[in-house]
Parts: sequence; structure tokens; C-alpha cells
Amino acid sequence: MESNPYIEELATYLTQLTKDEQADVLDFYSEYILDAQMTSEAIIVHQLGTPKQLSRKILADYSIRALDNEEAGQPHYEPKSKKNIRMIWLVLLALMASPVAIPIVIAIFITIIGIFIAIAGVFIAIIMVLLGIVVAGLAAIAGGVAVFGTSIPTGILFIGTGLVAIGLMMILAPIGYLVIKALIQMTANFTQWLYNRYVKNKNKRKSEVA
Amino acid sequence: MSIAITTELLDGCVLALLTKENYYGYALTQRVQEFTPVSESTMYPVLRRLRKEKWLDTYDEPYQGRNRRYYRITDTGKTRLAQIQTDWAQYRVTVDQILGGTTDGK
Repeated sequence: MESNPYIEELATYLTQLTKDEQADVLDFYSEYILDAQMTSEAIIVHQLGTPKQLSRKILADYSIRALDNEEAGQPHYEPKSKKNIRMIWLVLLALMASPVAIPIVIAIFITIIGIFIAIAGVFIAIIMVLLGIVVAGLAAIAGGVAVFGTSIPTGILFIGTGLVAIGLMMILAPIGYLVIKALIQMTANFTQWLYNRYVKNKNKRKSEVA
Repeated sequence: MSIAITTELLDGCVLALLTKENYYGYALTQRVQEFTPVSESTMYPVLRRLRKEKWLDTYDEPYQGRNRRYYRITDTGKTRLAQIQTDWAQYRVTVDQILGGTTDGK
């Protein structure tokens, strides 16, 4: 490996990849830099971006392809939602690193944050509704037991209502879970679309001008 | 040129270039940039993917005291190229008809 400070810095950002993948990336770019006769750090940065920007593009590319493979039915070892959230994060970083006009980045960033907040809102609402039903159900049962001695029909009515509420919660909980999962998936798809739309195209436009 | 190239077409063009000659990374990037504006950071993922699909393989050759990694098309790569060429031929005819460009009559 060449003792190039640019390559050395790039290496520090690629530790998520396997040793083989890291070596492959670093070999490719150190060879590229030599062959392109990029003699100064400034020229390298002009052509390839800073080591951090380049590493983000490399990592975003890995993560997005991992997602494609998964859809093609290949084995995966991470829960999908977790992987999606990581992908969203990497794409955000790639967007920040790419030479898109700053207003667009800000708009996209705020949009994504808005979507996150909306999802969090739905998430909390679902949990609160379920929790509310459980608490109401338990309270009804407790109340039913308390008045059982004085009025048996009232006691049975309260206990029954409580059991219905808890049963209802058991039906709703999986639905709530599915809704949350679907929302995360949708956000991931949207983020990936943004990546394809802006980062990839902008790169092409940039080199066209250069 | 303002039309962005798709992944498949870029794959096809890279494979087609490699049927004529084996290239190392920088030279290949230069050749591709002659006809389409891909950025420097686009070529590595493309080559990595083509190799993973076994459409090309690599070998190292010493050059001025270091190694240059050359890319070489494989037999499956040639099959893949033929497929992309067929797809492109069909697609081109369709697009020409819609855009009103010259079709095979010329």
C-alpha cells in the first residue's frame, strides 16, 4: 500500500467493511491516484472529494446494494428495520457530502426530519392508545371485583368490560406493530429514491461541468 | 451530453471496452468518461459489482515498481454483454420511434 496521507485517512473511515473489501478499495484508489498523476492533496480532493466524502459514497453504495440483494432473496443477518435506519443515515451523510446546492440539502434534511417526527408521533400515539386500553381494562376489572360483594351483576359487567378491553388490545397490538414497520420501510424507500435522484445525478452533472 | 447513463448500459459499455483490450482502473475510467460523464467515484462500485457477478476478473501486472490491476472480461461477461446488446437494440428502436430520430431505415 502506498503511504499516501489521503489513502491513510480514507482507510480510517472504512473500518465497517471487511479487511478484504478495505484492501480492495484502498488498492484501487491508490493506484488510481498514481495513474492519474494527482501529485498534490489539493488535486486529489478536487477530483475525488475529501477522504470523508469519498468514504461516505463508498459506504452508501455498499449499504444500498445490500438492500437490493436482500430484496432479491439473498440471506441477511440484520433485522430489516435496523438495516433500513442505518441506510437512511448513510444516505443522509452522502447527501451532506455531495455537491448538491445547500438549500436542497437543507430542504431534504428537514423533510426527512419531519417524516421521522411524524413517524415518532404515530408510534407514540399507537403505544399510548394500547396502554390506555390496558389501564382502563385493568381498572374496570379491579372495580368489578370491588363491587362484587354489593352487586353481583354490576361486578360481572365491569369485569367483562375489562376483559373485552384487554382482548381488544391483543388484537390491535400486532396491527400497530405492522403499521410502524410499514412506515419505516416507506421512509427507507423514499430516502433511497432521494439518493438516486440527487446524489447520483449531481455527481454526473458535476463531472460534466469539470 | 446531458442524458444520464443507466447502470445496465454502463455495465454494457465497460464490458464492451474490455472485449477489445484489458484496461487498468484509471485508463478504463478515462475511456468511459470520453462518452459519458461519470464521476471518479462511480467506477469503483461498477467494477466491484461486475467482478462480483463474475463478468470480469482481474490480474496484477508490475508497473514502475508497483502493481497495476487489469480488468479482463470473462466468458459469462461476454454472455452478459450479448444480452445487454440485445436489450439496447430493442430499446433504441423504441426510443427512436418515439423521439422521431432516425431508425434502421437510414
